[in-house]
Amino acid sequence: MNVVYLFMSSHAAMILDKMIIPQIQTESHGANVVGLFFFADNVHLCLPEHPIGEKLSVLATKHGFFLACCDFCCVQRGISGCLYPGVIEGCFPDLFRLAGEREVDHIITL
Amino acid sequence: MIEGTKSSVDGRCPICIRECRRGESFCGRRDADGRLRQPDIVAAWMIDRLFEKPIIHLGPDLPVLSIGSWGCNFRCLGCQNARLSWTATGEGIKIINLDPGVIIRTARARGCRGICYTYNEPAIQIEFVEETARQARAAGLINVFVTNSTLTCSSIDRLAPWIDAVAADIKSFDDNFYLRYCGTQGIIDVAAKIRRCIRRFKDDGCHVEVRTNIIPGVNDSEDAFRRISGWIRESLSPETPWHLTRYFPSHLLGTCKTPAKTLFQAQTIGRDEGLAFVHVHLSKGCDCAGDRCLIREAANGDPSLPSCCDQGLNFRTWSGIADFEKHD
Repeated sequence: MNVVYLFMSSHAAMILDKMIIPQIQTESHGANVVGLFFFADNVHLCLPEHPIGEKLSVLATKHGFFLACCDFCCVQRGISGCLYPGVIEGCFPDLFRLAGEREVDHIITL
Repeated sequence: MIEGTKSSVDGRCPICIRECRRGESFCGRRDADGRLRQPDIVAAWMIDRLFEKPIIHLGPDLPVLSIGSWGCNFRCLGCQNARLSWTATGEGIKIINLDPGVIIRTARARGCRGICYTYNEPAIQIEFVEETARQARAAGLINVFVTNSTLTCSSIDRLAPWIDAVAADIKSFDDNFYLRYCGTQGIIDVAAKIRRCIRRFKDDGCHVEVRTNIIPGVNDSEDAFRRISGWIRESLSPETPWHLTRYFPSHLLGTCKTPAKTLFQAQTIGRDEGLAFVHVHLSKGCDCAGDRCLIREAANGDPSLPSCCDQGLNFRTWSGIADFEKHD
């Protein structure tokens, strides 16, 4: 099962850090994560300065899933262009394109 | 002409917690009788959005007309609007006398959905804010008040009916911090009074979002984060937003800009303490921090470089009403 996560809520970072990342690292997540898309303050998670950012970047490279952030949210927070190399800044058309290329079964919002 | 405020019965100014004696005016905006000098002036203005205040949880990110004046009841060493705030005479500041009605008409003409009172401490010209806010409310605009949280209870009760949202600073729990970094000599229990002010705004029905500008090595301890976030949770509510803004070197305080990891650490602590909404602002210290940052980078971090405010890069300073009317 291929899944994409959308990170919307203020506590999504905790869920990512404490559950999803460790489970992916130990290959016990139960689904194949093909992409993560970040909204609102969660776009900070894709910054090199963020403690979760480096873990995410390493995992994305190793497992080949995409990292993408809401472009408006990045601009609003003054961090556009400052994300990890390879992180996509885009909007829903990009999300659906990326999801469509990967035969996603579920898009899950956290 | 806006009606002035007289001193309280004991002769002290009733506006802010500094409570200056009759004949004294720390902010420089009051005459010997406590009346507001230059009651309806604006020295800086800009059209921006609620997110910049920061007010995020009031509703949609609406455009607002931000206005400010000169003078302040603090003397923050790292003030990013020092040219406006540190003066006690207004000398050298371009100002324009302005009827609140003109501000409101212009805001509406420019598509703004509200008025934001900001830049310097707006409480020191409470009469102007009150009148403008009252008229703005009647015109269907919202009012946003950005403050260092130093109003007396009577001032809050006076303003609150017209204010929709308050971006309230709490810089520290420590009186010594305020004494050393904000120039609060003569104010007893300043930190407690600031907390009381924020609480009062909430009790009076205003939407309150709390802001802490984190300065490296000054107010960036884990204990400081826990105390502030714990207080917000207990005294305001777990749903009260807490904004963590970044310090950028400015004015007399040459400390380096706040490391991002410090802000994220504070965010984690705030969430651990039970706050539902803790927001990090990496590019924001004050209203001009983003621009300042670019200037610093262009100058290879030269600390002697004046702020963007000094260079007029951020503020659209008044040069006349015609100028105001034609800008967007």
